[in-house]
Amino acid sequence: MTIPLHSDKHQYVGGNGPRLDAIDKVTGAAMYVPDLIVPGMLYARMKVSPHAHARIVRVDTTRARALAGVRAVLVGSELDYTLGLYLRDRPILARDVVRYQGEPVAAVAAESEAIAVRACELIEVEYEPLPAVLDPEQAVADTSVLVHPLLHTYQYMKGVFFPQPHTNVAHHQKIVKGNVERGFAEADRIFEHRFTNPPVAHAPLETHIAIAQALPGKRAHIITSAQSPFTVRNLFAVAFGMPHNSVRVQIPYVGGGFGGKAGIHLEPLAFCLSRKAGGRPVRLHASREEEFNTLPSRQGLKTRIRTGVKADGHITALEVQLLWDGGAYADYGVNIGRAAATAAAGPYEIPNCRIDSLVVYTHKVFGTAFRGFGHLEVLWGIERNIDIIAREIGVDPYEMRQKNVLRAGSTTITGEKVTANHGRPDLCLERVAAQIGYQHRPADPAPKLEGKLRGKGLALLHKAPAMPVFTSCSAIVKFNEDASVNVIISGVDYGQGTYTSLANIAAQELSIPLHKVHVVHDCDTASQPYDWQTVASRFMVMGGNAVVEACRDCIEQIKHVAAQVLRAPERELVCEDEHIFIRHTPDQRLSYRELALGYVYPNGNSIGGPILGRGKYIAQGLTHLDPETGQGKAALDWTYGAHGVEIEVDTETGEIEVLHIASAFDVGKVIHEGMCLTQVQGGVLQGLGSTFSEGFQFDDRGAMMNPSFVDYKIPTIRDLPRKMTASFVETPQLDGPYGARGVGEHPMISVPSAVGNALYNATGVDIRDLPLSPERVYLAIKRAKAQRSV
Amino acid sequence: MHFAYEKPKTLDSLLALLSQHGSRACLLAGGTDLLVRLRARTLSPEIVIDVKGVEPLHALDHRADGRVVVGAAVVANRIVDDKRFRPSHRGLADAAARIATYAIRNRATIAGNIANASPCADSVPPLCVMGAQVEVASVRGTRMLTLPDYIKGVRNTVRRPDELITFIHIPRLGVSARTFFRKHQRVRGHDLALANAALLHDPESKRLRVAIGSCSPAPVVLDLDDLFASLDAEEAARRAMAAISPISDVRASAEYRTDMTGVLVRRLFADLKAA
Amino acid sequence: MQYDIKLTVNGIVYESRASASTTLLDFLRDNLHLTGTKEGCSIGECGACSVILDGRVVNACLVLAVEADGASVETIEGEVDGEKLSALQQAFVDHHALQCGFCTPGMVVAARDLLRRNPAPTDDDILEAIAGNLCRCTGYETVIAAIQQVARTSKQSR
Repeated sequence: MTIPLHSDKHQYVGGNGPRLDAIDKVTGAAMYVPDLIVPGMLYARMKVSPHAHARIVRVDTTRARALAGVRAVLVGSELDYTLGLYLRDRPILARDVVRYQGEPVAAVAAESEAIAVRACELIEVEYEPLPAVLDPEQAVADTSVLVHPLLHTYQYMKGVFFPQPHTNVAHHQKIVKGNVERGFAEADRIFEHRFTNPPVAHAPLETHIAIAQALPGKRAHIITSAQSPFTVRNLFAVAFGMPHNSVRVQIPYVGGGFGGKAGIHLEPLAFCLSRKAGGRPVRLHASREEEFNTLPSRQGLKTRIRTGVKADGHITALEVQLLWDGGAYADYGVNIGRAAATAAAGPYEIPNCRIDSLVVYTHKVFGTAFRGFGHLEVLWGIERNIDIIAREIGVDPYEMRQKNVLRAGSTTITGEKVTANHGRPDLCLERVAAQIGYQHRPADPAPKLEGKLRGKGLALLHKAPAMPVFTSCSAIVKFNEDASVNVIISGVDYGQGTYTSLANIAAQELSIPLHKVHVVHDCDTASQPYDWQTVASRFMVMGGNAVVEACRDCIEQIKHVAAQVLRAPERELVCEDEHIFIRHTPDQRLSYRELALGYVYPNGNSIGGPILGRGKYIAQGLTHLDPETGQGKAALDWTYGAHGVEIEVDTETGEIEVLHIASAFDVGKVIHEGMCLTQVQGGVLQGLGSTFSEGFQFDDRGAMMNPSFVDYKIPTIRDLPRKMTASFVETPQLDGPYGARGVGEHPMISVPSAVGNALYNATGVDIRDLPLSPERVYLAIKRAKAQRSV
Repeated sequence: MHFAYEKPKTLDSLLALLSQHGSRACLLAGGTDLLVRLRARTLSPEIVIDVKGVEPLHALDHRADGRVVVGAAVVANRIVDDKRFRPSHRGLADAAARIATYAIRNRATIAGNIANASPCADSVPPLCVMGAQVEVASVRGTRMLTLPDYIKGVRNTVRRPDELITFIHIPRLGVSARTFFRKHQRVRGHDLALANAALLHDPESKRLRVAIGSCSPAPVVLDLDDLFASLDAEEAARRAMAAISPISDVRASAEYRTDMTGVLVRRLFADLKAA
Repeated sequence: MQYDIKLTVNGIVYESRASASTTLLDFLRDNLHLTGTKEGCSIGECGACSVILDGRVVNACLVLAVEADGASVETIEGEVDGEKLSALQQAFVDHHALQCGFCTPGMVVAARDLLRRNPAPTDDDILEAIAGNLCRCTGYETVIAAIQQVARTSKQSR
C-alpha cells in the first residue's frame, strides 16, 4: 500500500492565488527607484549627439561648470573605460567619435534637475559630421565606412563570438546541418523570399534610472531599475577593476523591463559622476525621449530565406541569411545573432540547413535584449515563408507545418535530439487551428479586394533560453519564529510574476499555508544568493529548481532535529501542514514553530538552530556550439507554441481588426494559472504592437524621427482583439520544477507572422515587412488591384 | 524654465496683462499643448497668463436663436457631455470626443485646439463647415474671424501678441441641418489625425460643405452646394482629394493621406444618407 | 520666483512653495512626497500620472502646481478604505490586473473616476476611460475584468 507523503492540503502548484506584490502596487506603496531619495543625492542629465556619425572636434564645459549648483561635469575623454557584455566596444560617454544620433556625449550632476538641464544646454560641442551607414546590407557590402575601425583590437568572448575585423560585422554565427546543396538538388521547387523588421522600442512604463554612489575605499553602491543585479555587479567589477564584494547592487520594484533593463545601462555613468562629485550619490533618470532615443532598442532584421521543398510540402533544404541591424554597439546584439540562429529554422525538422546570422554595426541606436531575443524577428520571416510556399505549391499551410514539425526522434538544426518530453508543437498547432475554426480552402488566385475581408492564419513558434552554458541560480529559504518563511532569490520580478509562482512551489514543498511564504522582493547582491539574469524565460525553471532544492534542504534539517526529539528514524517522518510526525503514530508530532529557530527541551537543552535551506541549479549538459557548424546543445529546454488568428481587413483603409487570436504553449506545467495566463495576454498584445504599429523611423541622416509616444504607438486598451484565448499543453519537462518550462517571451514571438498569414489568407496580398500599418496594408492592396487590372 | 504666473479674475485685467507682456507672454487654458512646449523649451515666455480665472470664459451657451457660444475656457469633455447639442451641431461634439484621451479632454479647450493651429486639430473641420467664428479680443477691442481667416498655416494664426480668443460663435443652422465628423488614425488607440473631415448638410439653406484637416497647412473648406441635390459622394471625394496638399511625414505618406481623404468624404456622405 | 500653493490632497491640507514651472506631478512627488503617482512620459500620453483634480481625472504632468492652488486632489494614496483595500483595489488584485505595477496607480485612479461618474459602465465606457492609460505588461483584459466586477457588485448592492 502506498502512503501519500503529503495530504491534499497545501497543494498550490497550478493554483491561482493573488500576486505577492499586488497590495504594494495597487496602493501606490511600492517603491521604484524614481521614488527613492538618498540623502545628498544629485540629479544628473545627459547631453546627446544630434549626429549619427561625427567626429567630436571640441567639447567646452566651462560655462556648464560655472553654473551655480553644478557639482560634476563629465565628457568622454575623461572616462577610459570600455563596456560590453560580450564584446567590449562601448564607451560610457562618446570618445573622439559619436556613433548614433542620441549617443551621450557629456553629462552633468547638479543640485536639481533644472540646474542639470540648464548646464547641459551650456555645454558646447563641436562636431564634424561623417558619412553614416544606416542599413545593415549596405554596412556589410561597403567597408569604406566602418562603425568600429578598431574592431580588431577589442576584447571579446573568444570561441563564442566571431567579430570580423575591418568590417562592420560584429558577429557571424553559422549553423550547418547536412548539406544544403544536396538538399536543394532533391527539391521539387526552390523559393527565395526576403523579409524585414524595423528596430523596436521596449517602452517600459518606467524609464531607465540608476542612483549610484562612489563610496570611500573604492566601493560602489548602485540602486537601479534593472533585471539582473549580479550582471550589473559583474560588469562594474570588470569595467572599473573592483573586487566583486566592493560593489553592491540593489534593485527595488521595477516598472517593466522586457529585456531593455537586462544588462548595464545608466549605472556606470551615474557612478562616474558620483566619483567626480566627491562621492555624492547621483540619480540619473532617462526621460521618455531618452528612453526611445538613447537607451537601446530591439535590433532590426533583414532576412533572406531560400527553401527547397518537395511537391507535398516536405522541406528538403533551408538556407537563411539573417542581417541584424545591431546599431552602434554590440551589447546583447551579438548574442541575439547567435541564439536566434540556433532557432532560425523554426520548430521544424530540416535535414539540410545553413544559417548565416550576421550582427552588423550601423550608425543607429544599438540593439539589446528584447523579449523573444531575436525570435520574433526571425519567425516573422520563417512563418510567413511557410504560408507563401504552401500557397505556391497548393498545399494547406496547416498540413505543411504538421508535415515538417519537430517530433520525438527529430533532430534540430544544432543536432539536438528531440525527446518525448521536449514538448508538442504539433498539439499546440492543432489546438489553435481548432479554436479559430481553421479550414483550408484553395487560395483564390484573384480575390475581390473590396469592402471588408476576413481571413485566418496560423504560426508556430519555439524558443529555448539563450544563456551561457554555465548559467545558474541559487536560493535561500529561511524560517521565521512563527514558521513563516522568507524565500530569498535574486532573479527579479519586474512584473512577470515569478515570485508568486515560486511561492506556490515553496508552500507546497514545505506543506505550509501559502500566505506564510514571503518572497523577498528587493534584490541585493550583498545579501542574496547569486542568480545569472532575469531574462530568457529561464527564471521559473532555474529559480523553481533552486527553490525546490532549498525547501527540501529545510525539510531535511527539520527531519534531522525532529528525529532526535521524536526518537524515530528520519525515513519514518512525514512533513505535513506545518507539522512533522511519525508516519505510523501521527500523534507523535512537533510543529515547525517548535523547530524553526531550534528546539528547546523541557529541561532547557536546545538543539538544531535556525532552519535555513539552500538550493541551487546549474544548467545541466549544455555545450559550446561548434564555431563552424553551430552543432551542440545550447538549449536548456524548448517551449513550443502556436497562434491561430482570424482578422478582418478593411480594404478601403488597410485597417485590420483581430477578431480572435488563439494561443497555445507547451509549458510543461502551469505553476500559477493567473501568472501564466497574464504573461500570455501581455505578450500577445506586445506582439500585436510589433505587428501593427511599432517601429523606429529614421531620416536619411540617421536621426530618429519618432522618439515619443506621439509617434511611437504602443497598444492601448482600444487596440485589444475582439477575443483572445490561451491554453496550455503540459508535456512535462523532466528537469523542470514540477515539469515546468518558461513562457515569458513566447507569447509575442509569432503574433506578427500569424497575423501576416491571416492577411495573406484574406487577400492574397503578400506583405513581408513589419509593421502591418494601415498604410502599408492599404498601399499593398492598392498595388495588387492595379496589377490585376493591367 | 523661469516664468511668472498670473491668473487674472476679469477679462479687462487679462487683456491689460496681455497688452503689457505681448509676445513675451503665453496664454494658458488647458495646458495640454503649452506644458509640452514649455518642457521642450520651444517656448520661453516671461509670464504664463491663466485664462481660467475669468468666469465668463467658462460659458457654454445655447442661445434661444440656435447660436452656440463657447467660452475660451470650455474644455472638450463639456462639449462631449452637453446633451443640448442638436444634431445640427453634433459634428463638433463628435470631434471633441476624438481629441486625445478622456483625461486630456478634461483640460484641453476648444479655443486652445483652434489657437494652436495644429493642422491635426480635430475641432477645426466641424467648426469650419458650421461657419463658426472666433471672437478675438484685446485692449483695442474685438474682431470676429472665421476659422479659415484665423488659421493661416501650421501653428500660424493671425492672432496679434496682445490678443486672445475669448469666444467661439457657432451660428444657427437649419432645424434639419446635420454635421458629421470622421477621423483617420494609425491605430485604434488615441492618435493625431492622419486625416480628419467634417460635413455639413443644411436643407434650409441648401448648403453642403466639407472641411478637411491634417492634409494641408491650414483647413481646406469646400463649398459643395452644387452637389446638394445629387449628394454625389464620389464627386465630392474627388474634389476634396484635389483640393488638399498633404505632406509625407513620419505619420503617413501624401498618397495615403490623399486616398484616406477620399474615403473619409465618402463615408461622411454615407453617414448623412443613413441619418 | 516661488509661489505659495495650498491644496487638499486626499482630504489633507498641504502647504508648500514651488516655482511656476513645477508641474502638479512633480509637486505631489517631490514637495509632498506622495510618490504613488508616477511619471511615465511627461507629455500626457501615458496616463501614469493620472490624478483627480477638483473631481475630474487629469494628467498631473500637464497641470502646473500653481494652477492647483486652492484645489482638491485625489491620488492613489487616497484610494484605500482605512486599512482595507477599496473594492476597486481588491478587484485589481483578484483579477491580476497588474504586473510591474508602474501604470497601476494611474489605472486605479482613472477607474475610480469612471465608476464615480458612471457606476454601471458599459465596455465602451471602460475603453474610453482607460484608453489614456498605457500598460505594457498586462494586455488590459484583466483591467477590464476588474472594473466590470466592481460595476457588477455595486449594481447588486443597490
